[in-house]
Amino acid sequence: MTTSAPDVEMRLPAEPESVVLARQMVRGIVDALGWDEDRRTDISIAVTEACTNSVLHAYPDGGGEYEVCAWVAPARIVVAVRDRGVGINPRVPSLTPGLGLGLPLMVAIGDEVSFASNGDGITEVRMTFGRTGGGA
Amino acid sequence: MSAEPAAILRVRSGAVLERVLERVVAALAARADLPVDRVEEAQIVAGAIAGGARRHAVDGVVQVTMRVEPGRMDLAVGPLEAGSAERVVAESAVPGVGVVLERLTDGWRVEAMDDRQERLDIEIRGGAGAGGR
Repeated sequence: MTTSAPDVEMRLPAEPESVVLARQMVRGIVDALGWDEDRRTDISIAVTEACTNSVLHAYPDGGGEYEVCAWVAPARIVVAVRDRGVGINPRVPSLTPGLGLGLPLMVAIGDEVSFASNGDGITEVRMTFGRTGGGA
Repeated sequence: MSAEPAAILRVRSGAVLERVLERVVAALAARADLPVDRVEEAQIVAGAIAGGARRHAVDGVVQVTMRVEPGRMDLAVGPLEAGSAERVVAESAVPGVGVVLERLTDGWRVEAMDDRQERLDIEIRGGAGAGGR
């Protein structure tokens, strides 16, 4: 499913006000699929957390962009949040540490969640959501 | 408006295009501090764009580049097939309402990208839609 081009993708500046746009993008997808309200809300929360991570932590010196990609099927969507920032390194203290709930929330809501930083300098959080949920 | 885009949206799936574009455009319109009635109209404009652009997008990919500043948002729709941008506008006509992309916007124009592609630029401001070019 995710080896093809995304069905929906959006490139955004890594600024706090962009997160609502990513959330609305994904919300529009699950609206169109007719998934129930609880599931829509859960998915919105998980995507918000992933995007917030990119905005707050990817570019410590400011600037930068991230993108949100979605592959859509009637009973499953995959959402990837990608940036070209500093990568995921839990041992490096952040200037904006937050409450530390973002990753556990994503894992709890998603049916599958993966984190990767590849050789091209791209950091990706990829979440798979089924229509009815059932994450860890 | 020369600001960096607030978002560049690309949609390949016709099944979700309208809902996604409506939601993202409405959120940006709210960020531009447009009045509530203009936010609703921006959402209607987004729906009209989705209907037309889907038929005329190059390679079936609808791309909308969005820029925003206080009281104003700009939507650049394309690449579209050459000669089709005006059709996107004309096809937004609704019986009893008129041409949505003229009635509810503050202006539109066609920009050639190359011999085979063009772009439809649409402007929405805080006041009532002026319509036309």
